[in-house]
Order: sequence, then structure tokens, then C-alpha cells
Amino acid sequence: MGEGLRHVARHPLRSILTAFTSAIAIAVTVNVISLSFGMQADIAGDVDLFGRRTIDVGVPPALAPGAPVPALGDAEVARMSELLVGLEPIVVPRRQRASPVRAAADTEAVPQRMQLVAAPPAYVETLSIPLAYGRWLVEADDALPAPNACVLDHAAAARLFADPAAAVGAEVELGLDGALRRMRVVGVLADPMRYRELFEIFDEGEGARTLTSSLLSFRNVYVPARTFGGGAYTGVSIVLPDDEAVLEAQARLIRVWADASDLRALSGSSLIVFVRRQWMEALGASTMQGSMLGNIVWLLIVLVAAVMISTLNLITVRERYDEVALRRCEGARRVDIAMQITFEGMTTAVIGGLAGLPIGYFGASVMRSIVGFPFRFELRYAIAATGVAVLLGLLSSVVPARHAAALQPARVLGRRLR
Amino acid sequence: MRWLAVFGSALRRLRQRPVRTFLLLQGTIWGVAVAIFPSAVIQGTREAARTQGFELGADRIAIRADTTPHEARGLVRADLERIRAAVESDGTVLAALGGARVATSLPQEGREPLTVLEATPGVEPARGHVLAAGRWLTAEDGPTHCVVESGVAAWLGRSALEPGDRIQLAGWPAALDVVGVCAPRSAQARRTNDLGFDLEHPLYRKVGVPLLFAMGIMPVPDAWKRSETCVHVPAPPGATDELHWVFLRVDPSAVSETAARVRERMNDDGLAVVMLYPLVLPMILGDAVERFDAVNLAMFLACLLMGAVVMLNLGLLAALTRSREIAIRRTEGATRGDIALQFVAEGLVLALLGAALGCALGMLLAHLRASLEPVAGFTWTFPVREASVAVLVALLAGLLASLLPALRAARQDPVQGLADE
Repeated sequence: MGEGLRHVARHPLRSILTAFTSAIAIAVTVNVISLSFGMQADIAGDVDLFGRRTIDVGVPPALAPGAPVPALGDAEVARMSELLVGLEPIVVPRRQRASPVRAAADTEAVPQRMQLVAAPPAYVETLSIPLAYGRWLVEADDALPAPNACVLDHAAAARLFADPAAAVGAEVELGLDGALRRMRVVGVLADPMRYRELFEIFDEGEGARTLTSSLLSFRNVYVPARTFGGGAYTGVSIVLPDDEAVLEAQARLIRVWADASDLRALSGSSLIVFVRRQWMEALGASTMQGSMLGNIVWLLIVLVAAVMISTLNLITVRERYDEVALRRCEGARRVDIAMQITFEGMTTAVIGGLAGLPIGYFGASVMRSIVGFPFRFELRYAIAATGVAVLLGLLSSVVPARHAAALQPARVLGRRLR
Repeated sequence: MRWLAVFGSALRRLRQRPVRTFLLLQGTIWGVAVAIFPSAVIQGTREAARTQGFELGADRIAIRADTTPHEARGLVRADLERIRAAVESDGTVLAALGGARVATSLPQEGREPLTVLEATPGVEPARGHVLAAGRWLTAEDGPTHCVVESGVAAWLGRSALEPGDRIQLAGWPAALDVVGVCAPRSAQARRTNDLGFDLEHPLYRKVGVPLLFAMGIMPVPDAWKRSETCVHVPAPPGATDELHWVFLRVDPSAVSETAARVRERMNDDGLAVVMLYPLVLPMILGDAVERFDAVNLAMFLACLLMGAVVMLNLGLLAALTRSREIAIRRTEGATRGDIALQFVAEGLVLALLGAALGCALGMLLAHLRASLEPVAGFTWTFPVREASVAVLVALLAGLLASLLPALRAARQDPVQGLADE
């Protein structure tokens, strides 16, 4: 070991360069991990807020031409409550529209198209999103003749007001049935999407979503249930107390209506039952697949780094045959040689790896500022990356160490003298 | 000539130690490959969208009413003019626009059903059809006129249909006079849906469908659009003016913005719509994808830096271990410059070789990436500009990495070098 360290110290330039290669490899590894795993973990956490224990019942999104639209009114809501008796469900019917919205104080502003969701106060139970500012809607807000309170999603507030925190107390104008309606903002929900900016840049699918499915883009305005008057509902959300109850409720509901996970059911003309958790799982799997495809390249680079360090060690050893042979003559055993080479490889890889952590962090920050990508740096990633460094060092030393240990000193030195 | 000889000998030396050379090339190969492969895919796909946009359906938007908020109305014929106004409001050229109602679907054992579409004038080209014979339907056509798709003749058991022929469909009130026949669409067009996905791609079911589901986009029952067995008849006067679908075509690069504008206009009229258009191609044609360039550039530089460091390190080692060879060459009359040149030449040859192999690997990666995408028109091309830049940068890195070893080798004292032996 002492010899290994001495060797590392005796050839500072070579050691620095080897460590540098290792540093870059670790920096890249840190970036790979913080980009893909961090983002995935974040998305999984975000999606968890979208209503894990919520089931939606609604009209199928793609009725066959000429097929009748299934009814969804108070009778169907009562039927749901009846079916789910004993499961302690919270049944929340809602009506939705796409409507122009603008801040009432800013009469010059171009109205923004947003989803209006009219629902009773219990709607907040269908999600696990906390309030960022103000309060949620209460029964008193739904006072006739004209309910005039609303809650905004954070992304909606950010579009309408320069400072979303200042939205509470301000008034917005909604276009409803050809007339403008003033509503006072009483609260702003937190944004459950950490990667909102990325999502919106690459969200080409926005236009292909139905009103119901775009609800989960969280750019909505929530208004009291009576705002739109009566009429059929757009959908009904049912919140169950736990996962088991969700499964049981799904089983009971699909005895009457179609199951959304059965693709054929989507084009029928029965109401469909949509379990949000199943959608969340699909979303998680797709994110995983998407980032896997994207990250193949990144992982390749880590692999290349490993190959490079290994190459470096291998060639270094090959070009140090004389030295190894001399050490053998001086009495060093094969094991000593192998240990020395391995120790050298590990030392430079670890030193390089530690140096690579700040480089990786710096690289991630630069990338974040240039690209707006969600690079994250966390202690556990740093530890994982250092682990990778040690592993790289070990792996990249095995072949060279075996190579060096197997040398016949007499042959090497003999060739040299010829 | 002297330069050529130097490069020749560098090449020979690299050939003598193929394993060492191959390992040394890694950094450059991967760096160049990573640098150019995304550009290869993006440029190739952009080119395909521009040149074959019509065949791929990259210029097409299909619109239907959202059935989920059912207090709202459906699409009607009067919406066509609103859509036209919305599209043309900022000077976007509307290539075609038309709407259709699926009037009836006639099943036949072992075949796609024959679908009768009550169509407004202009719907055939808006759906991406090209005329093979005759003419399209016009506003003056009566209820007994029709335009048929290329598969209708076979469906009816006839060898061919031409303008002037008369057809009788079971269950349809009147015999129909054919005024126009559509040309058959390409095989690619017939398996591509409105969202631009290749339905027969092996990964469509495994990756595409779950992805769409995750995005909240539900599949639409519309096999008739790809069947080639549709008969277009004019919408009869006085009948319902409801339209199940509206189709329009604009320049592929304007699809995204046009769709957004049409959607807003329809929303203003109290109608929620679902707009179906290729999802991936507009993204590739847009600027957002350029954001990835910085990431690729960083990867490229990281790889190249690693490669250069390895080259530098080994060059320095070589300068030491080859001191005997250098000393002999010096005593044979080689100048310091010759020795330095030899090292630099080796670095340059390595960089050039690595860059060439990197280009090849990049194209292989691009091909692999394109074949993994169940999107019609997703392909690759050789990105000349990016490849030239990558090769130049790789050469520069090779040159820089060999300079220090070259100087060190040149500075060696031949007498000392030989005396060490």
C-alpha cells in the first residue's frame, strides 16, 4: 500500500491526469443520476398528489358516431352512493367548461383560456394538493343568487397575476354564457407539478385531451357548485378511505358501468369508471420507459468512462513492465504487485471521484441555467457516485493487476537488455 | 512528402498495437457519436416532415367535439367557416378544409366495413386524398353523386371504378353515380393514425398506447379513416347539419399553433373540441427540441476531454518509455522537430480515426433510436454541419493532447537516453 501511495505521489502528473479522467466520469455519473433518477422520483411524488384514492366516473371520451350520450345526473350520483354503501365514499359531482379568464384589474390583458370546475367544497378531498395561499371554497361561497368566490391552481394564478401570492383577494373575470362574471379569489392551490415548465414546452398532446383528462394539467379555476346552474354533470369523483376500498369500489362500479382500463369500453356508450391510481401507474411506467430511452446514451458514457480508466490503467501497467519486473527481482511477490496496482487504481479513482462531485454539481447547475432541465443534486446521489468511483477503480484495476502480477521478471528484463 | 511519410509511420505504429489503439480511440469515438446522433435523428425527421409531410399526415388536423361535457353542442357545418377564419386570421395558408358525418357503415365478412360519409365539399383532400380520376364533390352535386376511395371497387366485387360508373349500396336509398375516384394511399399512410403513430410498429402497443393513456389521450374508434373503403356523398339538404369530424391541412410547421388557435375559437363559441394531429413531428419541427443541444454538447465535450486526457497521459508515458527509440532516431539524424512531429502525427491520426469511427457509430445509434420510435416519419440523416464541427473539435483535442508529450520527447537528450540503457 505504501508503495502504491509512493508511486501515486512519485508521478504526480500521471496520477492527476488519471484522477481527472475519473473525475469527469463521476461528474457525468452525478449528472445522469440527478437527471433521470431525481426526475423520476420527483414525478412519482407529484403524481401521488393527484388523487391516489380517487375513482372518476364520466362519459366515454370517444363515442361512436351517432351513439347516444349516456346520462350523468343526480340519479346516477345517487346510484353510485347506493352501490358503494359501507365503503365510506365521498362522492363529488362536478361540471366543467373551458372559458376565457383574466384578472379584473388588468382590463388590457388578453383573456386566458382555462378550465372552470364547478364543484362542492368536498372536491378538495379528491386531491392531496395543499393550499399555497388563502383558503379552499366553503358552503357559504355557494350562496345564491350568484356565487362569487373561486380558487385558482398555482399555474393559473401565475398566468393571471405577476405574483401568485397576490392573487388572494383580487378579482378575476370569467366569460360565462356570453357574459362576464366577477369572482373573488379566496385561495391558490400549490402546484403539484415540479416540472411544469418542461411539461408545458413538450406538451404537444394538450389539444388531444378531453375536458375531463385535461383537468389533471392543474391550470384550473375552481368555482362553487351552483356557478353554472343545473344540468348534467361532466364527471363524478369518488374518494375512498384506503386502497382496499378503491379496489372494492371499482369492482362494484364496473358491474354497472364500463371499466376504463378496458380499451374497448372507451368507445361504447356506457359511463366509464376510471381509477386514478391505474393511470398514475401508467404514467410512472411511461416516464420510466421514456427516460430509459433517453438515458441509454448517458449510461453509455459512464460505461465509456469505465472503459477509459481501465484502458488507462492497463496501458500504464503495460508501459511499466520494467518497473514491475525490477520490483519482483527486489523480492516483491505477485500478490504485492497485484495489490499495489489495485490500490493505485482505487486511489486515483476515489480521489478523482471526490473531485468529480463538485464538478458534477457545477455542471448540473450550469445545465440547469442553460437548458432549464431539472438537474438535482442530493447527498445520496453523491454517495452513489462515489460508490461508482470505487467500483470503477476496482474494476479498472483488476485486469491490469492480473496482467502485472503474471509477468515473468526474467523475461521482461532479458528482453530489455537484448 | 515528408509529412505524408510521418503520417504513414504514425499509422503503421498504431497498426502494430491494435488493442492499444482501439482502447485509445474510445473517447473520441463515443464523443463524436454522442455529439452527432441526436442531430442526425432531429434533422432526418425534420426533413421527412417537410418533404413527405403530406404522405405522413404531418400537415393534417382532425377535430371532433369533446363528448365529455355533454351540455355543450356538437360540431356543425357553420363551424367550418369559423375554423377557416381562425386559421387564416394570421396569414396561415389553409391547404384544405372539410367536414364529414359517418352516415352508415356496411359490414362484409372478412373485410373492412364500407363507410358512407356525408361530406362537405373539400373533405377528400382535407383527409389527405389525391384524385386518381374525375373530380371532387362540389356544392352543386346532388344526393346521387359520390367520390369513392381506391378500395371500394374491390369491396363491391368489381375490377375497377371510373367516373360515370353507377354503384348500388345495400341499405342506401339511391344508386350513386361516381364522379371521382381517389388514388390509393401509401402503405405508411394507411397504418398511421391521426396522432402520427405507426399502428403496426412493434412498440406501438407496448409503449405508444400506455404513453397516450398516461397523457390523458384516449384511443378513438376510427379504423374507417385508414380503410380505403369510404364512399363520400354530399350531405343531403335539410338533413342534420351535425359533423362528426372536421379535417384540415396546413403547413406541417404551423400545425401546432393552428390547432391551438382553432381550439380557442371553438371554445369561444361554447364548444369543447379534441384536436388530433401528429404529436411528435410538430415538436421536432419546433425550437423546443434545440434545448437538448446543450446537453449533447456537454456530453460530447466530457467524452472528448476524457479521450484527450487518456491520450495525453499515455503520450507522456510513451515519451518516457520510448526514450531509447527517440535517442536512436536522434543519433540517426532526426531533428527535435522530427521527433515532435512524430508524436503530433500520432495524435492527429488517432483523432481522425476516432472521429471517423465515431461518425459511423453515431449513425448506428441514430438508426437504432429511430427504429425504436413508433412514430411515422421518425428517421435519420447524416448531419453534415454537426459532424464537421465534431471532427474538427476532435482533431483539435488530439493535437492539444499530443503537444505536451511531443515537446517532452523532443527535449530529451539522446546521449542521456542511450546512457540510461
